[in-house]
Amino acid sequence: MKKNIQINLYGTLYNIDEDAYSLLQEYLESMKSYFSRQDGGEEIADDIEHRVAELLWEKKQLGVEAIDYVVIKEIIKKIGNPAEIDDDVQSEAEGGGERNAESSYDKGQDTSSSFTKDANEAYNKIKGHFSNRQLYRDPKNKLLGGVCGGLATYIGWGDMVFYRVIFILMCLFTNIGGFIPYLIMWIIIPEARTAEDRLRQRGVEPTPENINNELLNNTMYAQPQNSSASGCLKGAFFCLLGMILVPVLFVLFVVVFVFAVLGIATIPNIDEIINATSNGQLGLEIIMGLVGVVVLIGLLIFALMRRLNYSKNPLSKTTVYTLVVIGLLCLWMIFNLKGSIQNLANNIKEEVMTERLTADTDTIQGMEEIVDEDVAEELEEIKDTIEEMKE
Amino acid sequence: MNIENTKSQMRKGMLEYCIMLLLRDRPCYANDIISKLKEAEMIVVEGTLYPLLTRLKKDGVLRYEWQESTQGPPRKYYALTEEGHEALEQLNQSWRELTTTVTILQNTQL
Repeated sequence: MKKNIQINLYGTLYNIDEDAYSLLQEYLESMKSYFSRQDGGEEIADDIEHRVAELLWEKKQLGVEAIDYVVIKEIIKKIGNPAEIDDDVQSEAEGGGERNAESSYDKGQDTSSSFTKDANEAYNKIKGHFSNRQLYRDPKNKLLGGVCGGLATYIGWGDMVFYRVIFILMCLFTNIGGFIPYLIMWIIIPEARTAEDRLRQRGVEPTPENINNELLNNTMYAQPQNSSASGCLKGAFFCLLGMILVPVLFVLFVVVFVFAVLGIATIPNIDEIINATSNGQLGLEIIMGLVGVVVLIGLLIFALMRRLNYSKNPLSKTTVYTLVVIGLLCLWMIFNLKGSIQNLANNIKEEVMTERLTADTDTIQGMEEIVDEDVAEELEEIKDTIEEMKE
Repeated sequence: MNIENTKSQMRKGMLEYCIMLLLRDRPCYANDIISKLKEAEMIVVEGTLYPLLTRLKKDGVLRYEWQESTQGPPRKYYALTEEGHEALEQLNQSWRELTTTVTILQNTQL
């Protein structure tokens, strides 16, 4: 049993199996990216899409109800893959590749004077390793942006879990600051969308044969995650998480919000404390921090709600980035507040201490005075008694 | 000697000429051209045709117009331009020369 979807190709509807659909999509995508490098390439890709539509139409006329994987494979074989179609461009590209390889080899030779032979060899080896490869994000093994999966494939050493752990540790030790390099990589590095991208990521030359193999072998697991077993598990996990977290977060949200509104107003002498300690700047920070907490909790609730019914349209990239940036901003405001409150507490402590100190000195002085008076009086008295005794 | 390679080189060299020949009398759409070329075993994969058509169009040899079709998606009908007809005339001439040369070579006793 296979899930079937309906696609619209130039005004005609076709029922197509899900795996066949992803194969077809990948095929057309690789056409587009291959021919986009040359003049009129868009038109070529468009023509090919038309041809696919025509062949599908023929199938439909023959009474094929649902287009399956085999039909699409047949069509791809008939039309051919990008590199097969375009011999001229391929040979040009190969020439270019050789030239690049030569120049990088030359560079390696130039620096050899300062390196020992072994070091130079290692250097060339590493250079060769990376000059063939291109860094892509891996959309098939991703938690967030697929950066770690891409890195693991690019570097060719270690599992992506290892890189994930590194990023998480970085975040923990730097107060979330470690997330920023990840975010930047997420934005800058392109996603490996086509078979060609995936080959280049591994440093395999995108020859017609390789592209074909990659296309046919790897679309099987390119199916949307929902249908796979791990997808179900993941869904169940998030459902459970949501059922627990959403009410908790909601209560927290309400509590924080109420306190934010009422709390500031009801803290006794808040104005005096603020004015006395930081020239009124802290008031702003308190408000910012509270807003940060409220918005952050709101964001978490929103994210969880979205996670729960993911039949909805996915958020656009820009929205996701904006939300992430807002979240980071909130975190920054909260940490900012934390620092300020610590400062405030220190200031208050100091003030209390100095007050106490002055009070203490005052008492001591007072006592001294009293003592002095007492002594003086006693002296007077003694003097008086001596006078009396003399007389 | 790689015979397959040489054969495919020969076919490739003549492909543009053949496309122009197919279009000399009436406009055709890609499917017509593909089926004729396939019949003649001039092309292996269908996609080969499209970059060629785009190039010929860019060179001003071909033009096309869209036509709605009751049989599936809209079709691009390709036709030779004025310039294309002239170019075809020259190619015909050169083909005659080529075949003559080759025939002579085939028949001469060395």
